Amino acid sequence: MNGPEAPKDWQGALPITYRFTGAVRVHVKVDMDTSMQPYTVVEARIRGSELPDEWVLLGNHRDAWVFGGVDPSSGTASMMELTRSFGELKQHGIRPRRTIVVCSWDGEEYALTGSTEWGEQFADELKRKLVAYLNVDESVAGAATTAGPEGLSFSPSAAASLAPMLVEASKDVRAPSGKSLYEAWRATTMRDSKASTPPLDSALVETRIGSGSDHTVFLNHLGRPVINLGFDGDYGVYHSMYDDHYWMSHIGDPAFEYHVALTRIWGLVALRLANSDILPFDFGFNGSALKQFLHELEQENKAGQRRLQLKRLHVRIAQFEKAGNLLRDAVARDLLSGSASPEKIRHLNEQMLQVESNWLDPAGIPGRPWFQHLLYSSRYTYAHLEFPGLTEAVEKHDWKLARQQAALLEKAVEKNTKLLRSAQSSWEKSNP
Amino acid sequence: MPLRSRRNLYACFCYFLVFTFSLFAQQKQSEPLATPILGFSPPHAAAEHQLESTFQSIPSLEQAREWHRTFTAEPHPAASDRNNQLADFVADEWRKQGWEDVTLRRYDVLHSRPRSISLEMTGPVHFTASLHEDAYDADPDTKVPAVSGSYFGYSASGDVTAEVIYAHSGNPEDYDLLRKNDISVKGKIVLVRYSNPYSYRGFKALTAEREGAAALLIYSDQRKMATRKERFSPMARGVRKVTFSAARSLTITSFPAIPPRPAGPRSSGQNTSRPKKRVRSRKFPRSLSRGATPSLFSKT
Repeated sequence: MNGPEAPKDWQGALPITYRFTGAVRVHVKVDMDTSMQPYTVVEARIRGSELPDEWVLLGNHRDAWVFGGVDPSSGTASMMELTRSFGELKQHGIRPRRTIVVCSWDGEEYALTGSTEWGEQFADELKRKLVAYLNVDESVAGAATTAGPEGLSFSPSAAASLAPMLVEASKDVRAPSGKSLYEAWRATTMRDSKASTPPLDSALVETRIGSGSDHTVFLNHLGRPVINLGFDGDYGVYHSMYDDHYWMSHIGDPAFEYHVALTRIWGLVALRLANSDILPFDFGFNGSALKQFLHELEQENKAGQRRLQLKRLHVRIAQFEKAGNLLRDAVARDLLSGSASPEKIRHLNEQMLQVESNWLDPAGIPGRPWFQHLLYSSRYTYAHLEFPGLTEAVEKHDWKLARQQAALLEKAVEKNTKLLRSAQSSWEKSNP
Repeated sequence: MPLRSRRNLYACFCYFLVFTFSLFAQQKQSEPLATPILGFSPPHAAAEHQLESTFQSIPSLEQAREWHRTFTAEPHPAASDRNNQLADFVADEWRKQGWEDVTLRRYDVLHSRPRSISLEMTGPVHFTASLHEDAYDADPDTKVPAVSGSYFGYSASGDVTAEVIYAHSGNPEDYDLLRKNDISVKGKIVLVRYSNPYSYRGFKALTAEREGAAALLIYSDQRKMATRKERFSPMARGVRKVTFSAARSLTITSFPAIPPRPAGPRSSGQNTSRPKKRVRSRKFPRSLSRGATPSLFSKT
């Protein structure tokens, strides 16, 4: 082009001067077929032996832009190995205590349509029965062959209440580097953040969850906790024709060992959620994550501090964290001594699931009624967004709305603190 | 289609016998404590560890490779015949594996796929962009004719001939800079790149639409790829010598797309069919080509 030269940061890698304009005319013709088409979700389950009406859901999407070498068929290969393995366990008479449901989603690339349809169709049942959703989109989204000695990065994200159980499970799986997945995870996290010391366990799991994959309906619309699992690294063939089997078997994961490592961690997390006596939610850790979210919100919006008092919300979150820690410790003590009755265990599990449900506001966040989770949402870019109603109001400098949203959060956190306290007291009441 | 591995079965079975016995033993008397697991009583934690090590012995590298080969054998976008065949394949495999209540749920939704897309420079010289990535010799899959050209889901249809304006990343501040330079994009075709800094492609489309552009072209510039998804590993570049890699994607801005949706009772069960117009297309046409870009710049 021959128009005025574009500034330096507009320049790129092509061996030419980038210009705003020029005497270039282009003819673009787009003819799209926008007819109705069928999308197909495949579902299956292994019914739980003791608690068939509590579900652990696993899923991966099937549709790809082209071949889907990474996105999503790496995840599909990991999933099919998982279902094959669980099938073998079942053939030996080993059923999970809770029901395990698995879904092959469709139309994920088209606005998460399959999982959203399915989640909405079974909304009432899922709100009552779903313990957690474990999503794998791309199981291996990176080149192991160029990742260096520590290998690809394990890069899960999880609702904060489930982060500690995920860290614990990673200690019992071997990573392709030969270390435990836990040690490999610490090493790659340290490498990727260029830190000089390994991260704390509390910093390993990303507890900020955006959209962009099939967990969205379960977390943001139905209020169920979710985990996303996958390995990643350099991956330059995103959504292109070259994202295929050749890339995966020559550059991505030639030995398919990351695929299998992912099958193992996914399976372990599913089995633990399905077989545990007490659901492994850690609301103390959940509270500490909320504290962090609020701190970040304040750091990024220092200007508004005089217009918006968040002290009360801080106090409520600290109370929630403390109640969560106390409940977790009380439960651990009694589980160790084996003194808890099945009836008490059942009641406590119900209360824990209720804590997660209580984060839902049926009115939804301002302007987006479909997104009902008070703690988690996503931006239109599908980037993560915590305390969505409050954060967006603060960013818009709408202080009246921000105060309303803060009050809404205070109420929800307080309600859950009460629930945790009451769970603890009924748990301890009849103990010797 | 992968064959089921039988090699671990006998070992598994022996494990289970031992495991079953040890479970009984541990429930009757306090055995030495296994590593605790969150939410498990000590005897149940011991049993869980046993079961998990059995589980972990089953997945196989070769099987994972075979699954991967099967699922990536052909392009399989949503609503394609191949993707629907794969749904049946998954269902069949799950039945064979012993899963219960295997069910196909069908949803009829508004889809979007290209009938035809073309991009040509009409002046100062004539050039027609292929919109297809080049085949790579070592990889026969890249020669399959079924591979689509590049496109954006839910792009509107249209036919536009206009002048091209380069708008950097296509974010609002980029249009501000153009305005400062007395350049308007009204009725023009805007050319932007991915990720400098990152902004979601749907946002680029929305912004171009708000600015009054007639069409939008997005390309990937090898400089300053902002995310790992887009960054080429040196090995990948070396092996492939890729000169043109086109991303296919969506350009809508609500995830998941929400309006419009009819209320009312929903049927359930096998082959559920619920007509629903799930997403709105954008109002103006656009396409994507990185292959065309060098020519757009350099042939003038």
